[in-house]
Amino acid sequence: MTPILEAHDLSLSFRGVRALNGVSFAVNPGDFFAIIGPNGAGKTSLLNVLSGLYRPQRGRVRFLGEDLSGVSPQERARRGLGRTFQNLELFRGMSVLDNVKLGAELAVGAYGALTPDARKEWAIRRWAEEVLDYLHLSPLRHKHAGALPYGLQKRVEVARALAGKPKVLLLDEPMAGLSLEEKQDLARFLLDARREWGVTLVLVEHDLKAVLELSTGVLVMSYGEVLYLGEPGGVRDNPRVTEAYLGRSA
Amino acid sequence: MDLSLLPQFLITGLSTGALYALITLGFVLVYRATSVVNFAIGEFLLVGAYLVYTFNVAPFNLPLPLAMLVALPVAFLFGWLIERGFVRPLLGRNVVAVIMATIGLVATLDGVAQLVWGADQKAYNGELPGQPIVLGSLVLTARSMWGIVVGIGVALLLIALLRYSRYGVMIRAVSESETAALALGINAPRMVGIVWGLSAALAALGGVLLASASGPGFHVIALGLMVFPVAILGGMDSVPGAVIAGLALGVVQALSTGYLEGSLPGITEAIPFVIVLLVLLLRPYGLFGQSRIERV
Repeated sequence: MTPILEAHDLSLSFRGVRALNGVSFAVNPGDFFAIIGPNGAGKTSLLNVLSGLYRPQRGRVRFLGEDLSGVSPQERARRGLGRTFQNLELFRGMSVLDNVKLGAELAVGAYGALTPDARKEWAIRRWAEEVLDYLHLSPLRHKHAGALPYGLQKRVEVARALAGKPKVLLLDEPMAGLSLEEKQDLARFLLDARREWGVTLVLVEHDLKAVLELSTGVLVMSYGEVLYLGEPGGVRDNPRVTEAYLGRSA
Repeated sequence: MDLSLLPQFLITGLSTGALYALITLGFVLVYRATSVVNFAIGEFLLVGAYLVYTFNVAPFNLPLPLAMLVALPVAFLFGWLIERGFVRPLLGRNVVAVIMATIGLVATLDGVAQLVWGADQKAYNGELPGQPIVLGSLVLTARSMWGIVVGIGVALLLIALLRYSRYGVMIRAVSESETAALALGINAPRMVGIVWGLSAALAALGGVLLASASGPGFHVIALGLMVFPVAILGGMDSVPGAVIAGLALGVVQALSTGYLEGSLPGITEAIPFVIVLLVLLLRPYGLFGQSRIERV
């Protein structure tokens, strides 16, 4: 199978501090790929390189078989690389529906400075409503996104990203700060989206347990280096992982 | 105190205030979209007022309203270029660096304006068209009407565009979170360029109307500085706040000119800042600003 997303030998440093050092991995279509590691391991830096917010000093990212070097973040999004953020990046002053509609615009494709044409406007609205319904957010559609409780804001952010119909969705610690029930709900939504819409998931997580049983592939990082890459089953027996990660937190 | 003049002062104040509102609107949009406090806003007024002057005199000799219409896209381009060449390279630097840079921009633009237009006070060729309307003792001059109609009209149009148009929504999205906007495929750099262009165009419009009586000259910069009390009073990041605070401070200044200036010369210049200080003591985020709490 040709990988849908590939990182090859990515290196990134900020003023001498190594954030990523020779990170390589490949994600296949339909994967639930987990990137785990302790705080400061470089997980968010890695996502920022993948989505184009940071430019690596070395290495390249391939998406859908094409080299993404020099491709802007917005163009990566248009090609189907979606993203959610560790610290919520909702449009707080807008309604839940307007947030999700901006995502849906990406999927439907809208042109014109003043309004999308009427047919597209209708398609955007309908698709946005469908996604809201899917994530059980419909009753909140007219609420200000910024006024919702934390767990629901996280869900709105996932809805907005899914509304863009990404081929690959990068999720930065979507479970952090959620209650157990909210975590289970979110995991179910994500798995459904993967099954029904064919979204490949790449998920950064701090909490190893939360993702091991769901994922199809795992990358464990520490201090910008790859400690482990492979099946989730092999993580716990890996001595390097045990030492760097489990050894301390377990 | 002669209260019979009150309506007259109110009209004058609303006219000036509407223009303050317009200029501040652009300033606030820039602040929201790029977190840059544009200390060179006075120079934006100056350049705008002079651009209109250029089209107003030989070889163009356009009547004032037409000269304004032609100068607006040029002002837009000017703002867009400032963003491209000056602001964008500083993205991600620390706040102080950006502040120092916009102060450097003040000196640069002052110099350039002097080179291009000279340091002397100019006069516009012709007046703003329109007959004064007389209602009993109340006189609505053409200038007041232009201020009120253009100031409030353009402000309302802009608010509607921001709320309902596709680009308006995208500009709001970029202002709330640029990274999230990028992740949704929104061309954030283009939106930011548009915002700076808009801000320069609004400053030009406000600048020329505020300077329509006196003619363009370096005193216009001081008028531009009214943006700071207006923006702070309105809450820095609030669009309706900018409009209401602009109108309010315009009226306060007119009343102060009418009733206080005689016994307390100079009070009119100071009073907006005194009000801002008082308001900030009671409401640190201004009248309409958002108090933000961040979750780390």
